[in-house]
Amino acid sequence: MKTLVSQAVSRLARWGTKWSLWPPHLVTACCGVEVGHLFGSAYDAERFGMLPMGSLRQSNILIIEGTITLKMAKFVKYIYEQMPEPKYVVAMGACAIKGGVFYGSYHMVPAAKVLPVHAYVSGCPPTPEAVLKAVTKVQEQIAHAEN
Amino acid sequence: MQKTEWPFNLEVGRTFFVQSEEELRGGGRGLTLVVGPQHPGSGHMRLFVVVDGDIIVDVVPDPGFVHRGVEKLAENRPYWTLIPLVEKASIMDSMNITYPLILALEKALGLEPPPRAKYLRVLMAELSRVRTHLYDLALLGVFLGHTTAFMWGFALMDMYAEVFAKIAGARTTIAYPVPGGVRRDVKPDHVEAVKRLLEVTRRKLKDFKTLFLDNPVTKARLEGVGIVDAKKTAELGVVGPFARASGIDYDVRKVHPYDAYGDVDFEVVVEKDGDAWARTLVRWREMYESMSIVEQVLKALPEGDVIDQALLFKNPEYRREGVGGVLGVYTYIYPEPGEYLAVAEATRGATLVHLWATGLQRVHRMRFVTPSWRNLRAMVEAMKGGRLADMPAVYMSFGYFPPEADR
Repeated sequence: MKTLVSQAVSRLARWGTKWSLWPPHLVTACCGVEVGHLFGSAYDAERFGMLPMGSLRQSNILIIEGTITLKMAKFVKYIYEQMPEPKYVVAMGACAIKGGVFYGSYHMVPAAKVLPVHAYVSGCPPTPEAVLKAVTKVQEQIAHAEN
Repeated sequence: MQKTEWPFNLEVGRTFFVQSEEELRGGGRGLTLVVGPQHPGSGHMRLFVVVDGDIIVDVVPDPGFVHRGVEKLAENRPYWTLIPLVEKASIMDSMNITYPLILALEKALGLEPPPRAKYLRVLMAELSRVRTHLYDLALLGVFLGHTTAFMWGFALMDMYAEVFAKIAGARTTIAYPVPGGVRRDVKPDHVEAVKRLLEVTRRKLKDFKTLFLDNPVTKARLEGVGIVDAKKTAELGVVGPFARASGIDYDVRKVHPYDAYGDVDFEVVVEKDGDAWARTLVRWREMYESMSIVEQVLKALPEGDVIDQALLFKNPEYRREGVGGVLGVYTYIYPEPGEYLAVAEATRGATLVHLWATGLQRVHRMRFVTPSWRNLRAMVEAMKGGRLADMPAVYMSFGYFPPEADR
């Protein structure tokens, strides 16, 4: 009986998380332009339950918008650690994957060296559709998670 | 109040920018607030704001969160790969921000674009100017808490993104110009798309104005806020629409016309007040000027090739409308040794590229001066003496775009 109840609660929680992925307003680089389009009226990420939040205490998905510089990496980590569980990370753009056109720059670090990344989006910059696709991947991960 | 004359009354040994957090010592009357790098607005920079009550006494900016070393990376790669590197500084304004690099490279390589290519460059430059102004206005809306302006601005911008994708193949980073011409020719349906785009923009901007600029709240938030007078603007080296908002009649397109800007007729938009409202109005009126330039360009678009003949003849099997056929030619032409300087008017102001070529295909050094960097000091000065609640309005009225400033 206890297991059944906990399973039901977990399923409900996962369903709720899946449709309320709120990113904090952290813009790390120029991919923020396409993220702007993502929340604009043409692509409307709110269909998928995404709503940009001013406060990181009320958010659970972090979109790494492109480059993370060494200076920014510290703050990205601070912000990630301040976000409540469960939390997910989408690394957006070629810069966040391996460096893109800035590969070999002295002031850059790939996203995976700073945070655990749940989904990558390729492109420079990725189109809003590609980001939405990554978000649906994260939603699948949430839905099929073990409790 | 502290003295706010340049070079800013800081202690000996302290730089204008914050080197480390330990520099910020307490003990004064003011309270130091740290704004950013994560804040509800857009842009990733940190401002150390010293407030006395809610009056801003001092602002020390801490840029560099998006410093990616464009200038250093440029030393290690062949000149034709600099275009995508440089345009990442300001991706929705990529045509304008790569313009000075292209002009400098053309001087170095001795290429001259054909008339059609010149007109097409101006066409894309002005479309991207409208787009960037819309972006800045939309974000100004976010900073003022006016989400409708964000939605309208981005809805209009999205149409520009689609037209860019049609003409150049990418939504934002178009890398459209190449030394000696442009990468793709426009087709008749592209011209139709641009015409429709202008028509829709003109129609929608009327509603946008009613919603955003004519809104009494917007005017109350922006009017008389963050005033920088003409003298100070000149002293601090402000460029672009932000200098023109203070009554400085300077536009590189008019002063040193490059490409087809000498052939088109346009007015340099100037406002006198120098406050956030004037800076918004200048950009608003510039959008109409840009649209009129695009219309003139479409009317006078010459026929012919879009790549310099000197390049085409180097490759007998060129494809006229492809990228690969012509770009391959760059691998066997070399820039003349020397220093080359070019200035172009990007959306947020004059952009400068200084190339040192040594006869190799890799430039020795590229100096890249971007407008946001030059407007930063004026932005900080405009915030001082104002109220803390006005800070977001002043911030975005300068259209500050950190990747552009930090390079």
